[in-house]
Amino acid sequence: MTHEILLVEDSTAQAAVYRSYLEADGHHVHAVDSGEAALEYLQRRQPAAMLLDLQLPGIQGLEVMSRLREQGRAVPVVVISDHGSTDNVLEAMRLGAADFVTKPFGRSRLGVTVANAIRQRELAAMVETYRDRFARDRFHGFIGSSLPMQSLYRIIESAAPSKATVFITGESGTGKELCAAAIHAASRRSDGPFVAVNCAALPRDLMESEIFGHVKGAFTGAHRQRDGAASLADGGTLFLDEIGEMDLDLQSKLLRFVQTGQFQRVGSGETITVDVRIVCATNRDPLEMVRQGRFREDLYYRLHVVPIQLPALRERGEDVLLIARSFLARFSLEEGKRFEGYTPECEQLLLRHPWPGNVRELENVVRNIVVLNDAQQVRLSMLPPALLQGSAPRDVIAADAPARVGPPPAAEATPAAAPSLRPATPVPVADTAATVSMATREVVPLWQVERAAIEAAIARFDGNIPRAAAALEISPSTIYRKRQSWLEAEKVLGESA
Amino acid sequence: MHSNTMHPATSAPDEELLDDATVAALEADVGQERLVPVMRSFADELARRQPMLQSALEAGDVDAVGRETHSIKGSALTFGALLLGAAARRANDASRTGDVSTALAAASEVAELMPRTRGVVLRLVTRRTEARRP
Repeated sequence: MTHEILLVEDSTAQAAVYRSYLEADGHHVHAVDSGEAALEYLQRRQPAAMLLDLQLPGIQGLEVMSRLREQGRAVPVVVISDHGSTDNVLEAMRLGAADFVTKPFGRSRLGVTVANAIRQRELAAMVETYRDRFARDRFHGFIGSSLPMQSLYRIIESAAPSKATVFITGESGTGKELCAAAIHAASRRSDGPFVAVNCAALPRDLMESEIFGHVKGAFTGAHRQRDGAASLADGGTLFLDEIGEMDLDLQSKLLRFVQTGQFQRVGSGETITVDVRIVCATNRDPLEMVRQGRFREDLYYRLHVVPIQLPALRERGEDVLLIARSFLARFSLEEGKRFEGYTPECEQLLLRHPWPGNVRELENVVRNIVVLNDAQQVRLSMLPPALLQGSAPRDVIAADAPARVGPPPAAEATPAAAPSLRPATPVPVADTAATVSMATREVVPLWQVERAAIEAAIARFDGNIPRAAAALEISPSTIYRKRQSWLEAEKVLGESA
Repeated sequence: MHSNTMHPATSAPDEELLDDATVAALEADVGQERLVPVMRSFADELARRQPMLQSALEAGDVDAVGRETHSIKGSALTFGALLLGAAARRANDASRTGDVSTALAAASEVAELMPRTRGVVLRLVTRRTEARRP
C-alpha cells in the first residue's frame, strides 16, 4: 500500500538509498535535510510516517520529536540511529518514537519497521474511532454510556438510514418516543417532519381521523377537511406510540397503509399516497398480544422488521448517575438553585433503587428534590422518603437520619420549601408533591402524587391537556397514557369490588 | 598529519576500500538501475565533506570533527566503505568521550581515506555505466 513518508536525513547519499528502499516498497517519499524543514513540512502535511535521523544540522532529531509531542501531532516516527547513540534512541522512544533502525540497515529491515509503525498508528486510530463510537455517553437526546445503551446507539445508527419499520418495546419511561425521534434525527429524513401519535390517547372512533385525516362532513363535528398524521408525516417519520392499544378494525387499515403507503381520509374515496417511515412502540409484549388476538399477526410481522428493546433503567448501571446529574444541572438552572451534585451516599442510593418508573421516575425525583431544596449537594435527607425506604440500607439511612428532622446547615442547604424534611403535618395531595408524613412514616404511593399533580394541572388550565403538559414539562401523550391507565385501574377495581 | 604506519587502514590497497558483499547487497536492495546514481551520490558527498573535515582538523575543533565523522561513518558503512567507516567511527566515538588526541588521529585517517575511497567508488560507477551501454 502506498503511503506518504517524510524522510529527514542530512546525508544526501544515505537519503538517496533510503528513498530507493521506500519507493521500492511502493511509498511516496518526501526528503528534507534538516529538522527545520521537517517541522515546516509537517505544518502543511500529515505523512503516514517519518523516518528521522537523530543527528541533524540545526534542530536535532530529538528536538523535532519534542516539538511534535508538544503540538500533539500523532506522526509515527522511525528513528535512524547508529552504534553509540543508545541514550538518544531511548530518549526518542520516550518522546513517542514508534521504533528505530540502526545504520547500516537494508531494505527489508526498513520496510518492516516502517510498515509496523504505520500499522501501529492505524490501529491506534482505529481504537480511538471505536472508543468514540462505543463509548458515547450522549446520543440524540439519550444520556448513558452503559453497554446496553451503546448497543442501542449502534442499532439506531444502523437502522436509521433504512426505510424499514422499527418496532420499539420497553417499559414505561424508558424513552420510546425519544428513541423514535433519534431514529428520525439520524435518518436521511431528518429534514422532514416527525409526527407522533399516541394510539391510546383518543377514542378509537377519533383515532382513524387522527392518523388518516377526514373530509368535511365525514362525521358529526367534522366542519372542515383535516389532514391526519399520515399526511403530515409525508417525507418524514410517523411514530405510532402504544400501538398495542389500537382497535382491530383500524389495525387492518393501518396494515394496508404500511403495505402500500396509501390511505383514504375518513369519509373520502380518494386514495392518497405518501412516503412515510413508520416507527411504532408499545410497553406490552407484542407477540403476547398477537397470541391473545388483540393484535393482528400480519400487521405484527409487517411492523416488526427492526425490533428495538429499550433497556430498563435498572439494567443500565451507572447511567442512573449520568442522567441524575444531567437532570440536577438542568432543573437547578431552571429553578435558580445552587445544586452541583450528589453526596456519595445519595449516589449509592440512586444506584440501588430499582426505578420501576425508569427515567421518568428519576426525572420526577430529581425535579422534586430541586423544587423543595436548595444546597450545593443533594443529601440523603432531601431524597423522597419512598426512595429512602425502598432502597437504602438501614445503616446508610441511620447515618444521615439527623439531617432529616431539621433544616440542613445554612452553608450546605437552604430549606427553601421542604416540608418533607420536617416531622410535619401531612400535606394534601392536591396541594403539593411533598406528600409524606414523616411523623407516621405513612407514604403515599408515587403514582398518587403524580396523578394529583397532573389532575391539578389539567384543572388549572381548564381541561387543556397540551397546556397542562407544557406546564408540567411532559408530553401530552404522557398525560393521555396515564389517564388511560388510571381509568383501567379503576375499572379493574370496580369489577373486583 | 599522522603517518600511514600508525594507521594500518590507510596503507590498505584500494581493492580493500570498498566491500564487494555490501555493494552487492545494496544493489539487490535498490536495484541495478539505481546502484550507479546512489554510489555517485556517495562520491559527491565524500567530495563535499572532505574540506569540511579538513577545516575541523586544522582548527582542532573536536565537536566539528565529531559531527563530520558521524555523517561520514553512516554513509561509509551503508555503501561498503568499511575501512573508512571504521576510522570514522573511532573518530566519532573518541570525540564523544572527549578523547581529543584519538579523535583527531582517527579523523586524520578518515581525511586520508576519503579521496581514495571516492576514487574507488567513481571507478565502480564508471565500470557499471560502461557495462550498461549497448
